[in-house]
Amino acid sequence: MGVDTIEVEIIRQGLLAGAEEMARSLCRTAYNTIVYEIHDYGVGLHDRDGSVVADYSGVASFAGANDFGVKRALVALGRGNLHSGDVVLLNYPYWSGAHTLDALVFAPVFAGVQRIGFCSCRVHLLDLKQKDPGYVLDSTDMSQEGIFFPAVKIYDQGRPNHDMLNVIRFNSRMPERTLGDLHAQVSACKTGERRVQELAQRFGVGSLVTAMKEINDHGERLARAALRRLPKGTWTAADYVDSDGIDTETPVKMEVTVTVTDEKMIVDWSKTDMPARGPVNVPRGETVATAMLAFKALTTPDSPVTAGNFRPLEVVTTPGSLMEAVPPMPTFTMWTGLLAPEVITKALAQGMPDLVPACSGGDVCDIMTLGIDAATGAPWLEAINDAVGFGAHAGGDGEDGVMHVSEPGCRNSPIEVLETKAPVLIDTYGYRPDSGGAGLYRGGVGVRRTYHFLSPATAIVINYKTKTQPWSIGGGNPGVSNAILVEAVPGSEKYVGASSNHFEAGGRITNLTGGGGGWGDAFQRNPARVARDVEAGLVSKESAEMDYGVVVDLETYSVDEVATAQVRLERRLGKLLDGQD
Amino acid sequence: MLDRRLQGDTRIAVDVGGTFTDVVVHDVAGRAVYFDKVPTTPDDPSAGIFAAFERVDQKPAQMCYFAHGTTLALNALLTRGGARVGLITTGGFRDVYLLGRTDRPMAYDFRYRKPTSLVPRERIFEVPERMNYRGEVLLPLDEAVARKAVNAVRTLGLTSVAVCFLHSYANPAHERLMGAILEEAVPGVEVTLSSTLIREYREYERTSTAVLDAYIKPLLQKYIGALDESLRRQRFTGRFFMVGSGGGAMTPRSAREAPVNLILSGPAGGVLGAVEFARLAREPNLITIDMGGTSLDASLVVGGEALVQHEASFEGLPIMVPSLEIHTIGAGGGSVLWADAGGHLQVGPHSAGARPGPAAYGIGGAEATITDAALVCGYLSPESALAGTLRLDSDLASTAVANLAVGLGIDAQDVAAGAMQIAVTKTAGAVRAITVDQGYTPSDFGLLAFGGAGGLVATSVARELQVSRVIVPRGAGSFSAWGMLMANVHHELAQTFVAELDRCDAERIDRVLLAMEADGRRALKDDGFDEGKQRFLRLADLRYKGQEHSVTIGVARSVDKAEVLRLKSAFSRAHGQRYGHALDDPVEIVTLRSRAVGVVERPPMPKVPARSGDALASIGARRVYAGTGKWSTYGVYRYGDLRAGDVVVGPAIVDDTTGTTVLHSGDSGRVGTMGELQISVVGASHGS
Repeated sequence: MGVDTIEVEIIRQGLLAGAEEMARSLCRTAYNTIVYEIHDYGVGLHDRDGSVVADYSGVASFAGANDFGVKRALVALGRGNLHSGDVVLLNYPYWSGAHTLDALVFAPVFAGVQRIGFCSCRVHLLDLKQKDPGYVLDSTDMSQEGIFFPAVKIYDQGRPNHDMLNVIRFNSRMPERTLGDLHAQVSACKTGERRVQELAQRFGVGSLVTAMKEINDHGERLARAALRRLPKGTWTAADYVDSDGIDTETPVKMEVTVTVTDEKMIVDWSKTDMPARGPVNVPRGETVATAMLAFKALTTPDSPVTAGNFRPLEVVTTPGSLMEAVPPMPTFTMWTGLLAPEVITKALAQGMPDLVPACSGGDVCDIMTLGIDAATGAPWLEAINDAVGFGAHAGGDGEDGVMHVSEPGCRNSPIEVLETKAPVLIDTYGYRPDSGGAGLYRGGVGVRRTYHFLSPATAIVINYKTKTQPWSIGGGNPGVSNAILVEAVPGSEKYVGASSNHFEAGGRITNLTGGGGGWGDAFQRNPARVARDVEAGLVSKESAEMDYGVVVDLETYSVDEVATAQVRLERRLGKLLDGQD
Repeated sequence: MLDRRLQGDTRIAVDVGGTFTDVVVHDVAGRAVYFDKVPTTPDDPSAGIFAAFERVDQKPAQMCYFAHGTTLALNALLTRGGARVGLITTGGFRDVYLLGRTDRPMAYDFRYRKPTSLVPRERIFEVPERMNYRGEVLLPLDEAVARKAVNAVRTLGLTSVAVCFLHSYANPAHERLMGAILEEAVPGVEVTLSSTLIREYREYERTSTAVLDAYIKPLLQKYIGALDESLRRQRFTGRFFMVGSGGGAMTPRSAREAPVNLILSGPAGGVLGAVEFARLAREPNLITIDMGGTSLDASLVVGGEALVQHEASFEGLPIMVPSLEIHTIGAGGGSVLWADAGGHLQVGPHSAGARPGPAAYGIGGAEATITDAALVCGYLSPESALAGTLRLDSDLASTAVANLAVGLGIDAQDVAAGAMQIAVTKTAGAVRAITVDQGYTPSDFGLLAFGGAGGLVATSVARELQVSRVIVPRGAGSFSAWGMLMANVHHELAQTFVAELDRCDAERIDRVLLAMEADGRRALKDDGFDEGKQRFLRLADLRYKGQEHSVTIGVARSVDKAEVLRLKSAFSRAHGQRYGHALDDPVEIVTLRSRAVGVVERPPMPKVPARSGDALASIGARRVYAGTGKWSTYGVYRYGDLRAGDVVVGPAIVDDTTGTTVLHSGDSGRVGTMGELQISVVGASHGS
């Protein structure tokens, strides 16, 4: 004992409030919609070793990546070389756990001469001289991915490092907005620093340090208690990233073996031992962070994130492979990391089908549009992540149209805001019927959005899961895959995966996002629920009959009981006969 | 006395809450104000209002003024008890409302479900039409399809329909046409056009506001209509106002037209009371905390004014009409204490509510709550008068807390004291969110505490925030009702107007504002305010070009080039104050706003006499446990015994029929001329 657990909870409230305040400060002062509308950010407060004790993140995997990045930077800088008033910028992918543009800014927090913690803030910056404007899909070497800041002080003991800020100013295609967002990150860290210092003043440095330790010990106890209740075993699963970005025809395999014991969960990627030629390689920090996401969802989804939650988690990777990129391997589209959590749950689903959901639509389904505004001559850029269907689970249907598992806090962009800022019209935006996998419980449906360009533009499709279907559990149907339809000139239509596409005025691109996988036998689903889905227009009459064996009257949206019984019986007999073959 | 009453010079306010209906009477001629309460009658809330009139012996015919706030609208939303509504959208955008912003507040819960929609997909109809952001028609409204949608509305028997088309804020013509078609073809249907409520962009938030309005409209129409009629039948000839979320009084007519403005009708009263109190007590800067059974509302008065926000969210559903900036957290007397799997004590956010209630209520609640913890610590006692007939049972409270303590491995009284501390910390966090986050320093404010449990935590919250003064007004439990007497009539108008300040046409800004003021003037005239009672406020939302978040700045009576320059520098100052930095970037206008105010007469706060005769005496003492093994003795006083100038020295507890106030050791309270208890809090000196 010895620790005052009630004081720890009071300090925790203070830390969580501090992290939330950092996020609000960031959103208010940030310059790009990707931060303040879409919430593509992660903020955290860390103990003096860099272990996160409170976070507030739009992108779930950023909490883990910030933890990794701060700790790695401490090694690079040397522990003694950080002073009060320093602010550090880190975007070297192999250290920061994310690609060049997801820049990590952090600051040490001092009480007197003693370092008591860190504040961190990561956002997607708009441009750091990566080889292409917006995004890079086909780099083969890190030198094409922008300029790196390998844990560099942009503030040195309170003084701005103008040399370094000028390097950014003269190396960015959008210097004002990039520096503006960087300043917003610095402000957020300053806010966090003040809050932690106030807590130190109020409770005493010793109590605060002890409380941070106990917050992590407590987080560990929560995770271990959950771990003990899980089925034990070892399971292997594989899934695919559409391509490496260079050879667009060949999918890249991701294979994982997950072992659950009473003491730990081991996520072993060592069977994924080859590097990719293109930028789908993942730095280890990101691989660890995505394993943390899957582990957190499985064990302690209801409590705040702490580094202690992840002490029972072990992640095994092979240096120089897809899951542990080393210099100079390209990492820009580290989408592999976004798909990884659901490869882990796919393995777990074999051993605990009642505890994990089927696969979601599977990707963050981003389309980045950009061009030069004909009226003002200014460059414009908008990125929209679209929602996907969630996987069904033992407790019910998957949700329709919500942000991918990796980015809970992210939001769609309002159409009216988008159309005011960019020469684009949205022709349609809504659910994509029949995209959810059928099952005893139905997978959620994805969405459909059509962009209509009013002047020449480029659309970068960032989606690496169009070739495989969202997997199901227990005999459910898979969800319908992501698809992107390009109509560069009216009348010409083709489906694309990750790609950069040019459009003249009048061109269109449609983002069709994936539905979640189904759970259990669709022919056991309550026919009344199928009829309700038909009435809502999320399942068609045809799909109801074909996939669920339910005949629905389109006048009254009631179940034709007799016809349904017959269809379901025929199907069951058919299965029996098939079984005899 | 009787004669005066027949002249109708009594002003009365009624605040219908979830559990109690509070009533405040201001006898203008007698210069008296008194408070009372009756149980709320959920099946027919107006029955409770007339019961309240009887309780205070008032007849509608004697009233010159009746202000009314109610949680009816909010409850209809919380319980999903509104109408069967339909929604008509732009063709191709049926699901904007159901999709929402697609984020998931439960970050790691892959089984997440969105809040239950107020309108299911089968009642959402698309009509081909399209505007662009300039309000130019790209596709005319397809009237044939519109009529089909209207037929569906009729066939399904929907009583209320919301219409939200893309970019209708820039040109509402199509929404108006759609509304006309609906009203013509479905007599009696209630229609809400998004553009009549909001002239700002963001289609989901605007749709959500319109749907919510439509959802509660039949209920509120019926309620307000029936109340209005009952008042008239009882020969009420005074003025009747509803209190709106933005702190303005609304005539029954405008409340019925846009009931979405009544969502915060209840808590708004407390903030209005705080504004008036700030004026009377010459305390221009106040933090308010209103703590009841299930939640805590925190708000600010800055420079004598309440803060208004233009977007809020309830139950995860956004509302884009102006409302007082009230920050609500799940911390109240009913908040449940529990042990997590890691062996730490947690408080809330879920509440035992009024049923089963805290264990001490003895009506079935087994879980320990903040009320139980306060009882175990000794802040409350079985003798504490807790709103009427309710009596607290110490044994039940002790058992509930003791059961929890076993699992935590901590002594029961330490669990209770710890829970109180955690509640204080959460409350302080809510106050920080509205002060520090917005660039205000809590120590520049006084803390005004009311609601049944506000006084229980106020001094501790103040200490944590370095606030040196706590004020508990007389009748703290009914303070919201008192505040409702202060509501001026507001009409809020806004227009999205995106223009860079350096290039904008000052005359055009003036024209837009003048047009809005003309609308406001007409509305006030309809409400019965002559020119002498009309006030107009001009505001503009400004931002750095490229940023999203704007700051609202006051605009001069006439706009010329010089005023545009002044706006720019005023914006830079405000931005610096709120965000810590100003930039050289171009500044742009986003929205122009006009607030038309009809000024009502405010009652003076009656004075409490100074003491004559015997000195103030305590009515007893209580043993209080404050943690770390220490018990202390607190003197107990009755609020009704206090006289102006009296001093109460902590440790002390002041019991009122509506709530309990705690002064800890070193705190010292002085009774002001309005009967308010002004407490100077020890250990919370300025700037430390």
